[in-house]
Amino acid sequence: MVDAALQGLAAIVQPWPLFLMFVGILCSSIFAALPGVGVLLLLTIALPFAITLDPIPCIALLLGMGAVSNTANTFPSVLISVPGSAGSQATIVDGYPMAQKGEAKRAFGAAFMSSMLGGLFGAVVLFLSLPVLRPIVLAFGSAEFLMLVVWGLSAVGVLTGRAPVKGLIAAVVGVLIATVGVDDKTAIERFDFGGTYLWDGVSIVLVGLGLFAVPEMIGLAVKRSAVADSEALGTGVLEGIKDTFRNWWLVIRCSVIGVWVGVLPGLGSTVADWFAYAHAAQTEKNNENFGKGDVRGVIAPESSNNAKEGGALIPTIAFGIPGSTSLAIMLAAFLAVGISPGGDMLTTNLYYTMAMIWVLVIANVIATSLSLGASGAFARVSLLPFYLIVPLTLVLCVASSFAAHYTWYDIVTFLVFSAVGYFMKLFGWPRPPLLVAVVLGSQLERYLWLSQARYGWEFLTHPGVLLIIGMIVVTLVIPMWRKHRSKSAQRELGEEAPDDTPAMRIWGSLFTLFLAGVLITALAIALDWPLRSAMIVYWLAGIGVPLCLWQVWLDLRQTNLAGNGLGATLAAPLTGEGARRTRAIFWWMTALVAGVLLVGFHITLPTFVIAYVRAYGGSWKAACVLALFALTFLVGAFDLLISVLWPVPLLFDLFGFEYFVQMN
Amino acid sequence: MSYRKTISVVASIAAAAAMQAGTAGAQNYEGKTLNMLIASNAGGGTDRIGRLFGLYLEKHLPGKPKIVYRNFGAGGGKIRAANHFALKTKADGYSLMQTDSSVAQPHIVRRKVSQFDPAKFEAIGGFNAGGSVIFIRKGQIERLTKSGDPVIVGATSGSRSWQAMLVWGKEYLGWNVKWIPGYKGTREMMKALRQGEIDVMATASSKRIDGLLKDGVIDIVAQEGVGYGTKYQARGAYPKAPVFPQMLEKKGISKLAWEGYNSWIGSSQVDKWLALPPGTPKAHVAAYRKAFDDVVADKAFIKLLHKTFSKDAVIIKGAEVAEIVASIQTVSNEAIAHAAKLRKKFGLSSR
Repeated sequence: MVDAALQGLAAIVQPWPLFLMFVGILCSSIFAALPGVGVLLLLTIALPFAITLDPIPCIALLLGMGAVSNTANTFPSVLISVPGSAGSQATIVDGYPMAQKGEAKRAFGAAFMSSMLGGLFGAVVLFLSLPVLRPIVLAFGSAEFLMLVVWGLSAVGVLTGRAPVKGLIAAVVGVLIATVGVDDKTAIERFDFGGTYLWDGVSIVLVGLGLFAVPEMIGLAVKRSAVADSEALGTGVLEGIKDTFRNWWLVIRCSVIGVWVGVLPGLGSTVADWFAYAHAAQTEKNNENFGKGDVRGVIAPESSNNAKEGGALIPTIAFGIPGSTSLAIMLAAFLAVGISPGGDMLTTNLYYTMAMIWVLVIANVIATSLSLGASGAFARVSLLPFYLIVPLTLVLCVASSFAAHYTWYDIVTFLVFSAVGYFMKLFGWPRPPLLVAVVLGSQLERYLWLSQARYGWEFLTHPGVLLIIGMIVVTLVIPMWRKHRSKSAQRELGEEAPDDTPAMRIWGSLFTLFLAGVLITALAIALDWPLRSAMIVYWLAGIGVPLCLWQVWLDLRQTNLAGNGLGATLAAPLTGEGARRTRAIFWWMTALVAGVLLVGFHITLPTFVIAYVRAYGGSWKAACVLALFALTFLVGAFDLLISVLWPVPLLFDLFGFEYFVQMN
Repeated sequence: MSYRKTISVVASIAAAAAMQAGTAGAQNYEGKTLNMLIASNAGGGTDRIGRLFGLYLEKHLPGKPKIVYRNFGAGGGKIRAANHFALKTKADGYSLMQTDSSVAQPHIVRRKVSQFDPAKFEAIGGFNAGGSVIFIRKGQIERLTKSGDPVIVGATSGSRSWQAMLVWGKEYLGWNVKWIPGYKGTREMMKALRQGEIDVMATASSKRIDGLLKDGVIDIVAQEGVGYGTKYQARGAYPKAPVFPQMLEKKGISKLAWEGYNSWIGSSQVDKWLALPPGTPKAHVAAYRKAFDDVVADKAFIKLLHKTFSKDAVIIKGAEVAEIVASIQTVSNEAIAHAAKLRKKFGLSSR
């Protein structure tokens, strides 16, 4: 094995493979940092070229791209609360509050160092597991997957903070959102409203953008300040790196989680960071600052999402079953250049396997160095005034949301989740449980069904299942019990305290009743479906509606109108400077969306940026530079890279004009 | 050559194709940018073959045009792409679509959301991995025809075309099978098969089948075969594996049962196919078909096709694709209803 390892290293450190790897890493880092343009697209674009290469350069290029796809995506997550990709959503929960505290540099230092250590750990695990690759992969079936998903969902209990009922309702609604689309058990199209758009479910990217990015930007526009509350960037990158080493045991645990998620094809690449975040929040001592800018909330997800890549190589190498979609593309290229997965990769072709491990190692070191080098410059974004950040983030959000399926419906879906996210933030609802539930909800239903259909309830006695139940007890129940015994103060996680006035309680109750209405409507729609497809909706409505009523009771039981009429009480939050600013940003957003629909992206986005910057006192120079950046992003990413088929804007359609960037 | 195994061609179609080829020289695409709509997410199987073919189409179309690729992925992508292609894409010879067999399936074409007629698309050509092969975990094959605990069939949903073989096997050959639909995709089922969670599945991918055979995990039960109607033959990679339609023929089934079977599985003969929009001028159609013939005669392309798609890939010329797609659309509603009835009978989706 040592000979093969040295042979693999010698092959990779040749000029041509090293050059290709560097190009791959650089491109991957740029793609990962741009919201809406995933590394998957980069791999697809590179595929025709990669299949013309020799095996080692092919490995260097593609694996170099894939190995670091979750490194640079931290930048937008921390700076503007926009997930660079689905794998960096959990980083927002503590990363953005760190930027708000002026600790963006520290967040980057911690994120990139833990990303690198996670990636290296994944490579080491891959190396060590070579002799036992196959039994590892085969140890997990649907029943064990189910319990892992339950474990992940148990994070909801932690993420709800001081609003447990609201957190549970959010999770119920999240699982309901996950049921949208064609049900594989019956092929029934659930909640498709008669069209095809929702057949593949609701895009997790749209949910993440809407829930987190827009509410934060509205908050910033109302507050009219920079992202960072302080004028300095506080402790630097080095402090974040030290944080990572101070929390070395957390890094190892979360890397193991990442590797494990990668090993199991089917769990999906988006769950690793949430699993790790939940694990950290459940098990770390003094966890009261999770969700408010605790550096461990950044270290945990970032350690796991790069470690996942090493894990995902295990089933790919062992059986030719790619552990992720990006590895499916790589596998096609590897086959084309003559690298066949299976037993040979552990014997006669061990040299290729070792080369892959070395690429994981080298790529992680290079990507981390690049990202750390750029951290200082990027961190300064958190000090920019709101009139630069808000318009740029909003246009990035609208353009990125359109990248989900390239239809107007994407914008509509994005707006719906933006509204939900805004109201959740306004009324003090924890948002992470909803997102976690959307990510894991479909898996929960799938693996519960498969386990029950295949084994009956006997699956609960499987050794692996019992083992994971034990893990859940150790990591969740025991800490909760200890905390209960010590009567420590309940943690307040994630959300700022809502404005707890009678008016806000009544408005909040109306929002809760709206969610109850959604659940009841879903139940009514599901009555027409076969029981197999409808059962989960019955359960969700059965649990969610009583919870909603309970929450309304909690909100209203002590609400005293203090002699004011209901109308006057409800109108109170709609007046004052804060309300005026809120209305203003809503009008700006309405104008942005209306502009996109009426005259298209290419005219609206730069115009919007210039108008917003100028309206709030920015210089013409700043406005034009920012507008140019927005246009460059749009044309570069969407026209040149993706070649988007733009829908014809309504005014162009009405007057019969051809959209000037529209081809066919 | 062995890789140029093609399905039967009627003489009139060949003659028509030859006449069209004669007009191909009139078209030149120099300086043009072609748009290829891909009815799949970036990175999917349909996407990969579309981009691979596009790479060589750029070389073989007169004037060596450039191609840009536009993916219609999630969000009902295949139907959305076909609707767009039929209703909005200009038939000017500069747009083409890479799609798959599902848009030729009559029960999909006849749904309200489908606003296209695949028979009106101008087919350029297509590829077929060689037909799906049903396999069972090693040592379990006898259970298939014995009473007792049924063998477990994994499925992503009830409507995957290879499921037709198992449904017809249960109904007409007495196979003792039980379905568990709900798996996310083929790779999850492959893992479940190795674990013993399911006993039976199918795929057309020779890479996957060979991997399982090499590891001693499976025995082959039957194969879909290459052909259409009642004329099927074994695929090159698995010449000894029983051809399922021949098993049915031997058993003797009604005309309606045959038609129902073909309504479900027939379109898989044009697994991945390329087309121009309805109404594209004949000269363009001829140019693209000629280019397709040149691409599939290019040894470099064939080498990559075998490595990335299937080692015994079947190449289907444009006129033949058009004939198969049109023929499938003539299936009666009764036949589609028969297939739906059987699916429902066995607890699978009737859609």
